Amino acid sequence: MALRRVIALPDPLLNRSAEKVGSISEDALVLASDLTDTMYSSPACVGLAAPQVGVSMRAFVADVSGHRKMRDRRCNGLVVMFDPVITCSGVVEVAREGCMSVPDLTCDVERYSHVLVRGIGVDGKELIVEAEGFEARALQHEVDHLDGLLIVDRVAGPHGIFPRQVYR
Amino acid sequence: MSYSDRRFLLSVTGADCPGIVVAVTSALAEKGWNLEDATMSILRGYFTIMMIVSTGNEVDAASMRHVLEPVSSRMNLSVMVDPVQEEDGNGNAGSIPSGSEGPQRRRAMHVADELDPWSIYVHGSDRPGIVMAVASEIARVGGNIVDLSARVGGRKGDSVYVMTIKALIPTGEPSDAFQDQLSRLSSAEGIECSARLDTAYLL
Repeated sequence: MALRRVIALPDPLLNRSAEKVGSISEDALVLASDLTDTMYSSPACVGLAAPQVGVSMRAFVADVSGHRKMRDRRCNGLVVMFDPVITCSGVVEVAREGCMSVPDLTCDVERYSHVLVRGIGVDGKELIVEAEGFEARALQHEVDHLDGLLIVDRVAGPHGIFPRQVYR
Repeated sequence: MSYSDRRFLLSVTGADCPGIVVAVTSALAEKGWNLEDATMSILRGYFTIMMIVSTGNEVDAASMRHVLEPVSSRMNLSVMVDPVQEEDGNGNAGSIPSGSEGPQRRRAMHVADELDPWSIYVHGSDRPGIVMAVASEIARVGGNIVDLSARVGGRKGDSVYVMTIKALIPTGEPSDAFQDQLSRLSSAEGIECSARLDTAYLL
């Protein structure tokens, strides 16, 4: 189990588009494993993208299954994906988001209610994930990281930034 | 000099015209002072801004007013400067110790340790007392309003009041009960009032 240090604003790496992975190398697999370990070791964290650990690579992990928001709802469990391409649909919903890379603040963010994410899985084969609601929100948040976008870039209006509270 | 030794709440208001923000912030920047939290709006043609300004230790409220005097005179602005105390970690300023400049302040209410963020949406025919009614309900459950924005719209003589409140409500307050109470308030006051729990998700 290897944990990586999560970087935070104002680190400029978080604002850059990450590099495409292409073929899945041993380094990419180690990164995915470390991202997963780091995510699971961080209380209340349900996703982590490579730029958040200082790696400019289009890779993320997410798992909302343990979150209280997902009680009695179906989801994809652990998603590990490289080079994701996201297609959003459904309605736009506003909800409060926090991010390990944005310390002390939370933001009201608009997200689509449904997503289809197409990318490469750890086996090097195409991986397609469909999600809705909270899981769709989480996947949009992670893919945003790969494009250098953070919750502070997507605040729903000038009164949508708040001091961070306790996460449960 | 560190620009974070002291902090002041600076409020500037006046009839709106282009150039107020650049004029005020230029005067502050020329002194090397730093702007932190800020909120600005236009209310019925009146410019309003409040911001936290951090400065070195040698600055006091009078000297900050003096620095802004040329701008306020030229643009006919009202300027208020109040020293602020460090936050308690929850975004709440404490009371200012005895002997310090500025008005004595006390925390208006006890704020619970565990709080949930809520959004509360209100609209209805405009009349006196709507804000008071909703704020009273929030206070009744020990909540604290942290943001409020309201506009009056609609036709003359049939105006509509629309308001959004962000409030911190003590954890454990049953969400159904709070929403039910707001529904009863809606019926009693002839307004539409709804609420949504805004729990933040760490993604």
